[in-house]
Amino acid sequence: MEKKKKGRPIIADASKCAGCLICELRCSLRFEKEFNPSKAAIKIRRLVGAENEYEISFTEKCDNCGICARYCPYEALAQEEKAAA
Amino acid sequence: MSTYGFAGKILYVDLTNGETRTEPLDPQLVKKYIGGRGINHKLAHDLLPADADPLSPENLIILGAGPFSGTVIPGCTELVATTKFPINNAFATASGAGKFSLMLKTSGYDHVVISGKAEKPVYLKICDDDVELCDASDLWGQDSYDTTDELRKRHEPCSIIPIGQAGENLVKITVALMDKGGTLGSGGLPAVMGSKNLKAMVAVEGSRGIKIKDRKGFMKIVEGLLERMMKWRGREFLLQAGFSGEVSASQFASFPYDNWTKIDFNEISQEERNYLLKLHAKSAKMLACPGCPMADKERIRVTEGRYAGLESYVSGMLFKKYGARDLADAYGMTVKYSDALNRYGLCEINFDFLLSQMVHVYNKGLITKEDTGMELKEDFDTLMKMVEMTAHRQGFGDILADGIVEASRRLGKGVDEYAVHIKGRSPHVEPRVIGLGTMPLTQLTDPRGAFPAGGGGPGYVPGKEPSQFARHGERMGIPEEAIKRIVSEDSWNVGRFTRYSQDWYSLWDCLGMCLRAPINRFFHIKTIAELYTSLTGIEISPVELMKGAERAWNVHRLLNAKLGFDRKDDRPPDIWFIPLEGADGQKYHLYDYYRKNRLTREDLDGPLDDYYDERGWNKKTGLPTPEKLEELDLKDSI
Repeated sequence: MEKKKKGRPIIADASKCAGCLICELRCSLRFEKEFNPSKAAIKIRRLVGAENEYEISFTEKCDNCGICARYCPYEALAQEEKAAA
Repeated sequence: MSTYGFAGKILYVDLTNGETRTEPLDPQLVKKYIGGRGINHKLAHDLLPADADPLSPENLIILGAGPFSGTVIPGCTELVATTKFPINNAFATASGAGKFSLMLKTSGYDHVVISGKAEKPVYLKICDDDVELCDASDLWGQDSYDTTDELRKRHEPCSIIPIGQAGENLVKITVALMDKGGTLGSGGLPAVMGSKNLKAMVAVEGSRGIKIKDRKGFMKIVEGLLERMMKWRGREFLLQAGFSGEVSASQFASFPYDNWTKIDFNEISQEERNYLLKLHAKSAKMLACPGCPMADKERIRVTEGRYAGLESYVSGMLFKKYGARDLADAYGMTVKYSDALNRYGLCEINFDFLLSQMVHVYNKGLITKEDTGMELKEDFDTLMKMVEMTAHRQGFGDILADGIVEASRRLGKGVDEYAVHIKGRSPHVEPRVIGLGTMPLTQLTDPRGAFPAGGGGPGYVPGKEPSQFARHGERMGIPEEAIKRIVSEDSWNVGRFTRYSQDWYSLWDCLGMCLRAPINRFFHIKTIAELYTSLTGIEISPVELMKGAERAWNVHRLLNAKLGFDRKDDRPPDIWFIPLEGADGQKYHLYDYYRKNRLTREDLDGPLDDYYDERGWNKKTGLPTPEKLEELDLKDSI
């Protein structure tokens, strides 16, 4: 059964990603209490010959906590807005 | 040792026999030398023979990722590389920003010591305990971009430092590129790699993490820094203009030509500059180093002119007109030139000014077509032809490939009298325009020779008030009593301030911090000390941190003293005392910083004496005294 995610979905716009990896570093800090990109739930991969320089993906581990979106300096990540009441 | 902040190990790689081993990072080394550059210098002192030929198997390449690298401290992503550089046979440590330090530390290493020479072309791949020399025979002959792309397809997520054809051909005026972004090792690091049959170094993402001792305290400081950086009004300009835009809008926008004899401040008017900056903002996507909110590495797509369709990666182009038909075409030509340099791995500063010297002496008739094989002009066609020939050591390019001192020597005929260099490296500062500030004095006294980013501070830019030196001096860790001596109400002492400018940058290289102004400006020495303690758990004061940085600088000076470098080599180029001819008819002479007094060669003895005195060095030799070595606890170890 798919794990229920904590928060609202993260919207990724790879065209804005500058490859700073702050999302990976912050994510791994939250999960593992250390800077360890291999353990992050968000993955930034540099591409070759593609329109976007970077590709953004999420692993099963991601629970939509929103830390990546909060700290992305380049507006490549955002958290879906709350639905109006 | 406690591995908070540090990865905890030094990796040794012997290219000759393919063997690797690791050693724990000694806490005593950390205590005394801080990290990064400091530890690199100590390792160089202990392991790299002073008489090693830079292009021999005896030379070492020592890499260092400081403790701040790979964390979310904004702008802390630097790798330092220490070796004997072919351009001038001197020990030097270069720094470059990018992903390599983070990747290296996730594999568990703070430093890598590479020795020997591989039998055939290899690339070094590091991933956790899996350290491999991989066959690079299919990559040999490829340029640095294609090599990077191929290795990325094989190993992403990773960081790649390749060499292009210039490194393979042992060209001494080369520089490596990290991930098609930050430069590393101007003065021949690629040639050193090439001499070892080392086509590339690849750090693959490992499984280990960088731990923090006091997470709450550390992150509180980080959040404060980040908040200020994100609000900085210069950030918007930077994200549109990149480092190229910054450079092209700064005092470096106009540089002398015709071998440092002439200058034209209006070669590009302000209106034209604004057009180019707008075009650049449209054409470039900014890329960032890990942890950095100030993306200034550029991927460019040229849309107009003869090079429309060209895509490249640059880090700091200087816009020039190159006799183009219009500005859009000039922009494309600037990108094309940068692209060619980067792909082959040539260093722009050392290549550009050397070629200018050669064109100058050609026009004077000292050298002829018989020497050069072709007509030499200071134009774009000659530039591009010489890039090609120098990278491949063809014809006259073989002479340029040896760097300014050796090239001039090989040609003879008095060409060496026109060589503008400091310890074999071309300067990239024009004191006849900006006055004698800390940048020219740093380039004179740097043990490396004229090196970009040897020291930093307000003295880099003309016209700052003395009060700004006092304020920044406090931020940069200059002791209060020294500030009182160095800065007065209406002036400041350039020799004495330069010493601290250099120690400030030395500290940054020890920690793994980016030296560029958009990052540098936000840090106070107290903040750095607090970050260091909260990250590593090692209690350290600002004074101790600056002592460590000073120690690194002194070791460096001593390493090159063994090779005979001393005060005589801190010699201002003759050209500084010859008026620079402006296209506006004005003549520009060397003045002090506030342009009150014109300076002769003898007048520079004063600032140099002050500099050595502030360093606690012997004024006659320009070398550390026994008392200074005692004070720095170096007497028995160095």
